[in-house]
Amino acid sequence: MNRTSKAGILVGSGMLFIIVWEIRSALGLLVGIDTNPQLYMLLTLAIVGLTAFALAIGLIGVTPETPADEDSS
Amino acid sequence: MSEQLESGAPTFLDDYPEEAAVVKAALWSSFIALALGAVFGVIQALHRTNILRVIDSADYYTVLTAHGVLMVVSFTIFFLVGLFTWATVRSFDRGVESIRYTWTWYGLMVVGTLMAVVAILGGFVPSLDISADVLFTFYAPMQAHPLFYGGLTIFVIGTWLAGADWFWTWRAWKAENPDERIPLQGFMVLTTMLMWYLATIGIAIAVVVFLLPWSLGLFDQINPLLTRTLFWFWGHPVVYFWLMPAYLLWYTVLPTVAGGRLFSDPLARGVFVLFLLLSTPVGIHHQYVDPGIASGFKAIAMTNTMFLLLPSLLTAFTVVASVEHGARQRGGTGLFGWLRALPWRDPAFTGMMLAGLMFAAGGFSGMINAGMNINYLVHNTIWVPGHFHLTVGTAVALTFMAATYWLWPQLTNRRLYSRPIGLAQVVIWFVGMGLMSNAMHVMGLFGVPRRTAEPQYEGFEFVTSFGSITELRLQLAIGGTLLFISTVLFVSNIALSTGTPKLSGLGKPLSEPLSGAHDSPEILDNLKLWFAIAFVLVVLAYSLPLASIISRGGILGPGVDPVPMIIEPLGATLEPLVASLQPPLGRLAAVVGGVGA
Repeated sequence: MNRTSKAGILVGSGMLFIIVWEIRSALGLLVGIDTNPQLYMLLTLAIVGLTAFALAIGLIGVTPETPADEDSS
Repeated sequence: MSEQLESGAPTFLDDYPEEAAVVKAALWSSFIALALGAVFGVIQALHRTNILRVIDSADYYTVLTAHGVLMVVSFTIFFLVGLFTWATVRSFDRGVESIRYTWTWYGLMVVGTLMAVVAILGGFVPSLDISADVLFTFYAPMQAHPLFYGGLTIFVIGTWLAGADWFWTWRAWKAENPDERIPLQGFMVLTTMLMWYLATIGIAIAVVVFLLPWSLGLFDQINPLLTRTLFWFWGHPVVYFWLMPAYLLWYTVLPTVAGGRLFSDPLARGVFVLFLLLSTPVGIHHQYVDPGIASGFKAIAMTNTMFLLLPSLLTAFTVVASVEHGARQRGGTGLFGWLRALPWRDPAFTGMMLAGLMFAAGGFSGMINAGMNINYLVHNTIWVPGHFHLTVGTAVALTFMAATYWLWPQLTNRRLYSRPIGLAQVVIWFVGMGLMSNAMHVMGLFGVPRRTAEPQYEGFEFVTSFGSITELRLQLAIGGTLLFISTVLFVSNIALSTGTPKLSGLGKPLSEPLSGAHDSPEILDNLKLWFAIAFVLVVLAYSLPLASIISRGGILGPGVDPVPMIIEPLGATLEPLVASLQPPLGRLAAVVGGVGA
């Protein structure tokens, strides 16, 4: 089963959150689409949460490439 | 976490205990400034967003000045002098020539900081006749107490002496190694200091010749445009004074932390030479909306600024290439698959990488600021703090914090209290800054001003193209709070590390570049040549604008009264104006009345 380290999940979740949330600004400023802020925040958190959960249980993710990554979870 | 933390090598503390004490003192000074600056930062973020108000709006500029000065003068520059002392001693592999001299410049910097901070905090005590609510951009007509200018002067003299200390070490090394190339870290330190000596000419003249005598009452008035121009003569290169230590860390420490080697030493040298040449003759790009400076001079400053993108882009290439090399050394494969092999759970690595990522975004918003026409769209809006919180507030600050996780054990022979907390801290900073900076940039595009306690403007609604200002304010406040939490975690982690057991063998030698110094032309090490060219470029960029400003306004005129002075002089100015307007207005009213009839 693929496993992702806790550190990888933490760092990746932080980056994913910022990327997904900032897409809202891009949609608003560039395309003029005014998404509902509460709904968009919930959607962002859901995407990040589900991704983190899927990585944690090994549903998605990558095979550890180095011994250092193996022992970090 | 079982990753090997001990290399078995002696640490910097083992080899140079006296210098390690200075480095630690400088870093502690930096972290204290960071902690205080963060308190003022969160107060400010919550106040102007109207989420939580613990100060009176009248004190906002005291808070803003304290935040700015503590963060971008004290935190960054104390870290720089600590880091550069470490880098100089480490790279030349010799102690400083006189530890007493080293402590002297450090002591001067502390005294200068305390003087400036007392002057700023005096603003909270109305009964004291001391205040310095002049913000970090302390040019006229804002006037501070002489203690503030005196403190800054002593602080800058301290940095000059620090630079002299590192040049002294280099000269001693060179006498023993006449045919050797300057070690890379030493080269970076020396070129940065040459840039600093050149850049501080502007601020030294502004403070010592104009602002300090003016605040002492020796002059009744000074030329505000002249002091603004002299301020920005220094005010832009100081950005590179903050950034170049971060570059030093990205070039020389990050590849090692990633498990690899620097891709190219010659390219790194070239980048630092370019920064020396190009950092200073660009300051007028901060004055695009200033009347009194011809557009042609502004266009030249814009062109020079755009050239500055080159070393930053070269750095992006070199650092990413070096990190990729490290990943492949760790077994990473594939076009992007190597990213998985990087040590993401090391807070030093992750923090520096996230800082670099945010710097890329800051570079893009910086291009908007530097564009002479599009700058008008964002000038003096909260976009601008959004930009510099990505550059100095993340590229520099987060790199410094992340590097501390790597460097601190080598200065103390103690392990870090908690690496997981360190990792969480850098990620929280990244998320907090992502939120806060995004909100600032977007609000800036909607015209929300910077530097105000009351951006709400009762009775006026900013028009947004999506969402609402309320939502963006909330986002800013959440981001600012996360940044404060991150700072608390960082400072606590370092403070608690002083209680961990003493160990030996925590030294971490730096890897050698793939392409070493000998692959580069020797002319790169000719510091006199590069300094001379940099000096000529500055003369070319500034002589005509300064001559023009002085010829039109005079050295000390036309002058303005110092602020605060709004109410009474304004009333006195308006009175004759209203009196002179009365007859024509009366005639106009008669005409309009006649037409209406």
